[in-house]
Amino acid sequence: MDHQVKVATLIPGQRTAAGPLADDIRRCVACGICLTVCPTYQVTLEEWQSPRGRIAAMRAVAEGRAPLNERFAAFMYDCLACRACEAVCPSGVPFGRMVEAARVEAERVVRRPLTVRLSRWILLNWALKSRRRFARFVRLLDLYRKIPGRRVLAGIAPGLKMAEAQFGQATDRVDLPERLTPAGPVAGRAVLLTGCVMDFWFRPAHLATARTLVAAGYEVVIPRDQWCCGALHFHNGQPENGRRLAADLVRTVLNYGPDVIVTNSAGCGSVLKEYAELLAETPGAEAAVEFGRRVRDIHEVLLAAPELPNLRPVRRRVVVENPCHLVHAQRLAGVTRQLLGRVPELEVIEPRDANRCCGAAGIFGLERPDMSARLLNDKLAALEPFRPDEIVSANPGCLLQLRTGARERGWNIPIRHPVELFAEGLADG
Amino acid sequence: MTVQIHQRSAVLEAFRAAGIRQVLTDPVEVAIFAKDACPLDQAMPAFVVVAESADDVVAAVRVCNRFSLPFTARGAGTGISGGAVPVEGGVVISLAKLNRILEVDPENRCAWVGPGLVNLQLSEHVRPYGLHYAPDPSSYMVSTIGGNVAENAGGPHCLAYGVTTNHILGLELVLPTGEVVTLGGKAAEYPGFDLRGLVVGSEGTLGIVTRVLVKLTPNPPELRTLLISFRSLADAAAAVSAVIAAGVIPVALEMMDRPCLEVIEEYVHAGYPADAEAVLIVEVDGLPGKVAAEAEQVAQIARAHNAVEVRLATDPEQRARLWFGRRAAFGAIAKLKPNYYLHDFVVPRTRLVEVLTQIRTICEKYGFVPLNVFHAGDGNLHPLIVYDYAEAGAYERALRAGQEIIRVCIAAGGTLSGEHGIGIEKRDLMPLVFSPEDLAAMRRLKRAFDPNNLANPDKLLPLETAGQEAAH
Ligand SMILES: Cc1cc2nc3c(=O)[nH]c(=O)nc-3n(C[C@H](O)[C@H](O)[C@H](O)COP(=O)(O)OP(=O)(O)OC[C@H]3O[C@@H](n4cnc5c(N)ncnc54)[C@H](O)[C@@H]3O)c2cc1C
Ligand code: SF4
Ligand code: SF4
Repeated sequence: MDHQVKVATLIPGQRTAAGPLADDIRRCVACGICLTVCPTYQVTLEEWQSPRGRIAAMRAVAEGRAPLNERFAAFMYDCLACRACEAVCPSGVPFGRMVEAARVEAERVVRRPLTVRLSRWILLNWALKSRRRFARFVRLLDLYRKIPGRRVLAGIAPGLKMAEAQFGQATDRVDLPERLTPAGPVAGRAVLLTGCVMDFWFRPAHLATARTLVAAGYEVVIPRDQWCCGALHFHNGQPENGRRLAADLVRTVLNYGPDVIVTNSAGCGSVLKEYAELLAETPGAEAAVEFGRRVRDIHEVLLAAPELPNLRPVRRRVVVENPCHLVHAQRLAGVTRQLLGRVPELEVIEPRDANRCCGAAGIFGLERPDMSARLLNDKLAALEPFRPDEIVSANPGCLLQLRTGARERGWNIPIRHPVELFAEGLADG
Repeated sequence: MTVQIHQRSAVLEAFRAAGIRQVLTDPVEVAIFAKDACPLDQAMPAFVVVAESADDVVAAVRVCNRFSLPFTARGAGTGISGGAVPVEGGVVISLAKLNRILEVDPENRCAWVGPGLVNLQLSEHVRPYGLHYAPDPSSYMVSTIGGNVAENAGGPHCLAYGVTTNHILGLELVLPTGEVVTLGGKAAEYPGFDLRGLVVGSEGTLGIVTRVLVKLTPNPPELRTLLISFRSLADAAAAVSAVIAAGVIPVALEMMDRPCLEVIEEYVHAGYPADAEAVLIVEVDGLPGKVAAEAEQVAQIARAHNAVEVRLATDPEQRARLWFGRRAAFGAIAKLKPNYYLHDFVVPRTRLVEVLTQIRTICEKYGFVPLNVFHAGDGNLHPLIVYDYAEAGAYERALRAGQEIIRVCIAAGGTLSGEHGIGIEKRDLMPLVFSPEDLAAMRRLKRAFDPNNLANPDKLLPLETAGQEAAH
């Protein structure tokens, strides 16, 4: 045969010019099976909006057949990083870490509108630096919501419009206890991670998480000195900043001697579980392994615990939406359905496309507002016929996104974390 | 045949002027269309036309003619013989967006569909009518009807129902020179040349299919599935022949060998007997009485051929369990090693055992264990060699083993391809099965359709020698 294989520059074990490891790129056999689950491909039918296409772009840059250019960067940020592709890939292509690595390279050539650049900077590089800063950011948002002429402002800066639509009134004034102990024998000590967005907008979910952990026999510690896990940074081309936050979190949390480290945010959970890999070759590597080994999503803890006694019936119809980072990244499929299935008389519906991205995907709405809105719209349209009394989803980004969509459609139903609903079934509530 | 810079903008202008909205030219963009699922080759096109209508396809083909640019149609790019690999500097015409179901005619059990429609989506769409589209290549959840037509794709259920060509009643074709013709149609017979039949399996070398009239098949009232294990490959193969000789035509008759079973068990725990040398999955369908009798007959024949175990499934859930391992086989195998080289030949059923044994010997010589999961009913072998490109020389060894395997299959009276096509992968092997006269006739045919040699050139037929090429 006269054909040659043009893969000379893909050297095993080496990182490529596109970002990902050569081995990861070569793993893809281009079978296209992932196209069937990729939300961006399914709505566009465009190969460059597909996992296989994105990998082909990485391969082209890695092999030097195409330059690392603006189009490449755009393709990497067109992706939701929802990792649905990874979960179905027969060849085990680790797409999540590939697109993360490619985004780091993409940052060098990416072009963004000024407003998007500014919003990204405010959020990733200013607000998320520390809890104090973030508190200020939240107060500013609250203030902004009171400005009468804000629509005009929002017209100029789409980031503001999104901020207003997504972030409702903050709930950080709800008090969280520092420590809770069960009445009976103690199963172990659980440190509850409160995060950034979760802590300012979803305190009720934290309270419910703590209560269910106590009911499951855990001593619960909620450290005041913890902060953000860096997930948004890792996912958006800023691993250095992510690593800084991660190292701090590891150090702080391990000080409290946890048996388990519990998160109720799927996006954070997926990153927390990968700390060992993300912090490898840093001074904190060993601690990161230790930390990563103890991380559990709240669903995992509760499903592994013996059946909680005396769950009260809750007569309601709930629709379950599964965050990508729970089902695809952490591979915890069906856990919300299972958990809520334990609540007597609760009618739990998991729609056919419950595992499909709602378009939230971290700060995707900022990068690609049209696609984000389209996916949200599809999701809610599919959900409508069920006429649910409430919707649950185990990730803050998804909750904010779903709430925005529901508000636009005039739906007046609770949209909250499943653990809040579960906790309602606890007898002592 | 690369495009000069000054010509490039003229071509782009011409595409735009012809009303085509999406034309890609950036190197990152076109690189995404450089290859299909065949590991052997890739090439950078200069342009990718993303067709949004059949008119776009016609327009694109005409522009290609004006500038003498070779063009390659692309469906879902799941082909594994390199059919959708463009000519370097040529044009890819992507058909993925032409996925509309244009008309369903339940009375006549047929439907007009766009070529970009995904196979499975067609079956899902017509399910309410109690119908389905029968050919089911393992890639059916991704591959397109147009791509299936071009490759004359087959699948597990093609044994009784026939491969793609038996299910294509008509099609609309954009000729390589830009004229549009309709071939075949709803009537049972058309006098004259069967050009429809000619286009099916032509791998995009005779033009681009823009609409397809597919036959729809009623869903069978009842299905039974048997999973039968044997201690020897020879027993399993003899049972296959005996079943067919007895006049039973199962809808599917799949065989998996021991290495394959071991991998399936290890990774997906399908509950298959991992100590068996061979396992058959046999499916029969039809009216309830007939199905029960046929299933019993198959079981009896199997026992007479020393089957160690026969499992029978009647309800959909049990059936799904028996199929589960077979359907997951690809995924499981991929977990073994990241890269694979999948072959595709048809050998006479009577020589299955002999060929399988030879394949194993060849592979072992090169340090591989071949895995076999294939359509035993029609002797369509799919030996699979898995390797890791990161191991030095593994890829080259896989290629060399492949070459030897091909020769063994042909020596045993086999053909070059069961269902995956010739493409680039096997074009230079065509002289092994066709005489120079045969090939010359094919070339004349190609030229009659495509005088400018622009429609997916250098595929299917062996490359001509430099001298011949200079002659035209
Ligand atoms: C995991 C896997 C399993 C597979 N299993 C099977 C199997 O069981 N059976 C089987 O037969 N094949 C199988 N294949 C091979 C492949 O899926 C088939 O060949 C399929 O028919 C290709 O369809 P496609 O839409 O991907 O076409 P592409 O790969 O895009 O194109 C294939 C060829 O068709 C041409 N073409 C595409 N559309 C048109 C059109 N509208 N008009 C004219 N020419 C066109 C292209 O130019 C190319 O030559 C498998 C592939 C994979 C990756
Ligand atoms: S499923 Fe995996 S191997 Fe197949 S194309 Fe997608 S990423 Fe590549
Ligand atoms: S991560 Fe999600 S959006 Fe990105 S390629 Fe994979 S499936 Fe598509």
